[in-house]
Amino acid sequence: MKQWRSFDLQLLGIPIGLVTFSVFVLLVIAHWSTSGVTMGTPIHQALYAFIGLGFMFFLTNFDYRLLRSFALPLFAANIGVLVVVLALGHSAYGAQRWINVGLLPLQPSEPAKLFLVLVLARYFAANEFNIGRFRTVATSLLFVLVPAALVLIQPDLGTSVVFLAIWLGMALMAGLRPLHLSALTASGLLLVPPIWILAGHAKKFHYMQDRFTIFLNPNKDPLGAGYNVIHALITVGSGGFTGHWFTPGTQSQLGLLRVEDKDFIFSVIAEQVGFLGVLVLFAVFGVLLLRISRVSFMAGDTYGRLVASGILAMLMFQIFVNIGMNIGLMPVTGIPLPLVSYGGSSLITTLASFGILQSILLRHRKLVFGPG
Amino acid sequence: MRKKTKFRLLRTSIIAIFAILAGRLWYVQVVMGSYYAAQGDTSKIRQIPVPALRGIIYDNTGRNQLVFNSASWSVQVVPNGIPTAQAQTIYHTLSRLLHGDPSVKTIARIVRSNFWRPYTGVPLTDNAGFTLKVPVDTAMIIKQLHPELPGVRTEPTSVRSYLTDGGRFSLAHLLGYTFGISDSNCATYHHLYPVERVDCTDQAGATGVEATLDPYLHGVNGRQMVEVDAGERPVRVLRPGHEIPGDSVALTINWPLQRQVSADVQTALNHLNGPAWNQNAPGAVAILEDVNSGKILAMVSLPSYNSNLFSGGISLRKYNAIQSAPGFPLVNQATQGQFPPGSTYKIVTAAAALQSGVVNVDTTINDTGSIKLCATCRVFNGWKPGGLGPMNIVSALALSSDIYFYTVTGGNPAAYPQLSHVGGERLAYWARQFGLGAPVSTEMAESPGFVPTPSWFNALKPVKNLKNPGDTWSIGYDYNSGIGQGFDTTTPLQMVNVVATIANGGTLYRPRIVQSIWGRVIPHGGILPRPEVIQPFVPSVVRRNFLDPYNLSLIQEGMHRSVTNSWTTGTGLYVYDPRIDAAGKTGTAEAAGGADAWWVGYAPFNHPKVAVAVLMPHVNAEGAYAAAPIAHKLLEDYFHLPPTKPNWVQDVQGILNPGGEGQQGQ
Repeated sequence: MKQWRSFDLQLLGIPIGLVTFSVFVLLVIAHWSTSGVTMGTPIHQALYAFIGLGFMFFLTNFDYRLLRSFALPLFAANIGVLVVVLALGHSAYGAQRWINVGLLPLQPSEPAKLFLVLVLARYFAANEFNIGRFRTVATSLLFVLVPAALVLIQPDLGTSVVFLAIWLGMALMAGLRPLHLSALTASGLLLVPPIWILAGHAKKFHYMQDRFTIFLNPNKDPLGAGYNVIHALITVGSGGFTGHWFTPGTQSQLGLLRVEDKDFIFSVIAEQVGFLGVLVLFAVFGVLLLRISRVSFMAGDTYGRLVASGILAMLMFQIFVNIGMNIGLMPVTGIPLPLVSYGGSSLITTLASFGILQSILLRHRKLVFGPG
Repeated sequence: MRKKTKFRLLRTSIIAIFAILAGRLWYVQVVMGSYYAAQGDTSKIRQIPVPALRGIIYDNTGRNQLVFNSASWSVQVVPNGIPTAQAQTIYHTLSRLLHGDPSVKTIARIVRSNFWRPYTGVPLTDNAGFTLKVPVDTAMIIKQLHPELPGVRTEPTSVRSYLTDGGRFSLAHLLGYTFGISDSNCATYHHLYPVERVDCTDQAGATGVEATLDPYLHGVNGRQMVEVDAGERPVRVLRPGHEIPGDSVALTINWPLQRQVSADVQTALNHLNGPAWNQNAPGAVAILEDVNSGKILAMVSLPSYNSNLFSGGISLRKYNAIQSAPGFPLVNQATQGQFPPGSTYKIVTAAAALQSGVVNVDTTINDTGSIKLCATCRVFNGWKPGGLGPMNIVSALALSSDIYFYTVTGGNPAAYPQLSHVGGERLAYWARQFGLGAPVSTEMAESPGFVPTPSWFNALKPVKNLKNPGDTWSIGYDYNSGIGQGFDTTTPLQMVNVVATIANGGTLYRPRIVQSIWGRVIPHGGILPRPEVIQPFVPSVVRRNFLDPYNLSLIQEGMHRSVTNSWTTGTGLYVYDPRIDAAGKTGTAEAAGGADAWWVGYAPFNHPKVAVAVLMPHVNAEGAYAAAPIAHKLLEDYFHLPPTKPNWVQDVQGILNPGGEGQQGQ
């Protein structure tokens, strides 16, 4: 088929390469681990990767334009699941984020990110010429605020901020007026002090305050809230310019980092491969994001363009925040590093979104005449 | 904004965020790299696993503790804490303190092979490879010698210590024992447990309740945050381990009863093997079950073994010696031994014949002492050569008439052309209804036993001694099955459960040994609360109402008369006791290596409470003489009655064939 000429091999090769690297790093972590991380972790990650690749190939062949009609029901169902999670979810490190579906613990806020992209793209594409009106902007915000509020109660501040980031990226791409943006930003900033005070009173949300103050001064509580921040810095810093390249006796092996297989996997990588190695990783991520922006540029219709830029915003924000928190640039949130952190829901969602991107590329010519 | 401009901005921002990250990373890794590296090297914070105490196992009163956690110390080496220059001196000092076991070479090997995890405390093993447990004084000496022994740690652990029951070890099969998880099987273990905090140095259940309830008993290990000195010795606890002790378990076993039963059975066994009868009986089995709930109150399988030998690790040579000792002590004969049931099986045959309408209370068959189906056919003898006379279902059970049960199972067209017969398939169906042929419990390691069927036999490939080529299931196989002498095998647990089902009016309970589980329900971030029942006892019913009440009453009556009949040599004579008023059935199953002497029954007849099975496998004796007197004593134990005879054990006799009895299947 002629349209397969537009298939982007880099958008296939880079994710596969990153997942392979992730499985390798998880193997090392499991080998070193004296506690939680077992050999089951890399094995599961590989298994999730295969499931994700299945989704990816299915969605590549699936016309993304048809997703328009699926978007809203899927999104609504996902919100229903988020409500269920709140009611009977599993709690890990103090937050209810998982529900158990058979063997696979499902974190429904992960697919919610992708469904949000699809729903917003549909809305913005339908209101392409009304974006200048504040009503349109406000309605689009409603789509975000519902899931964002639900994950915020879990409580999972990080993911709800990802939702906002997705909205911002897509709204800008859809042509959000600078006036509206600044108005919203201003009102958002005005909301911060009352929320801060409220958070101080609700025990469940105390951690958000803690994380922020700890971000500003990790040494305030070195064994409690500041613990991960300090140990992430020590671990990353110990890597130095060239890294340790998986020799024993490194910081990662002390087992002092918590969630070393998920949120803090970057610290382990940074210690092992050093500054030079991380630059290579950045280059790989950079190329990946640039390829996604190319999809957005080449998309045949507004809907495709918005979907691609939504996925771009989602990945870009997560990469920035996750790496940022590993090196003390951002406060600690439970945001995974896409394609690298251990976690089935995140990995499968991310790989599935690459399938949608390929589908957009394959169908970017509006009309194809004849057998061509 | 034009589309092109927008995308140019987008690309710039992508590059910008990586530039920001790279800039910060340059600061952390290159500018401050040596600072953080130094902080990491001088960081003396370590995470040390704290093993959780295993749960306690109690008897059904909840007051008698059957297993203890006794304190002990492990010696650990931390590769990072051992300075290379002093290594040999340290190994020498340590080895001398531990009396040469482990040797210097062993210690050096352990340290060397764990260089890959330099901060982990690796427990020392002795020269044979078992984790070293040292007494507290040795541990304290090692602690005090710390300046000379950098990189050596001692940590408190615990060892399981089981009640020995005065050397009879009657709990060994029930409780089982634990073994140390090693690095090699740690992965499997982690896979089995969804619990995050299980360490490769933990103890796990290997057999018995320790194994079946391991997920409860294990507990959740803690992670202690400590500050260590240059020799990796903890000097300050920064955060406690928050380990959670395992859940406790109350068994259905009554410890005083179990102890008494075990003592009595041992006495009887010694008597049979002693000068009085000069038998060579390898062991004995006794089970008492609560007929109204399926609770096992006592369960003894002799010979037994000392589980304390296993709890610290046992050498392969010692293990093999115990395993292959006479009577195979490691096997719980009560649940894993498969024996021909002999005449005790007539209970099942009687139920099958009544339920399938082959006979009723009026059906009378004349026991003439033998059956010969045709002129050239094999003769099938009953146990009494002259015959027992006309028999109905009740008297046939009471007197254990082989001829009656041959006839109802296989038929006798010559003598009783009108009578239909149960046949092998239907008998097998009813046997399975009673829970035979498959494991009945879920809480014990069990053998399934075996229920033969004609179709199974006819499909068999010819095997030496089992089936001649061309041989098919015939009437003779029906006959043997009907009196429990065919291919059928059962476990004592299955037989006691059959009797309990008859006794309680037709409800087949699943035999249980776990009464309740006591655990701690942990509130969020709270202190450890007191244990409470997290799993109470709920009787589990396998099947109910599958037997007609009238038919049941006939079988009960037959078993009752087996004990009370005084007008012949009532087969359950030695159990007769008006204080107890038992009902039961004897069995003498001929097997290779001697007969298996059975008595199964229940008491009291009118309001049944307890079912008993006694089995003396491979003895030269009959159920009525070798097993029934023991059963009587066990019933006296259960009802707290004083023994009728001061020397009850004299009733236990190693007689086969007294007064012409003892053809197959009495």
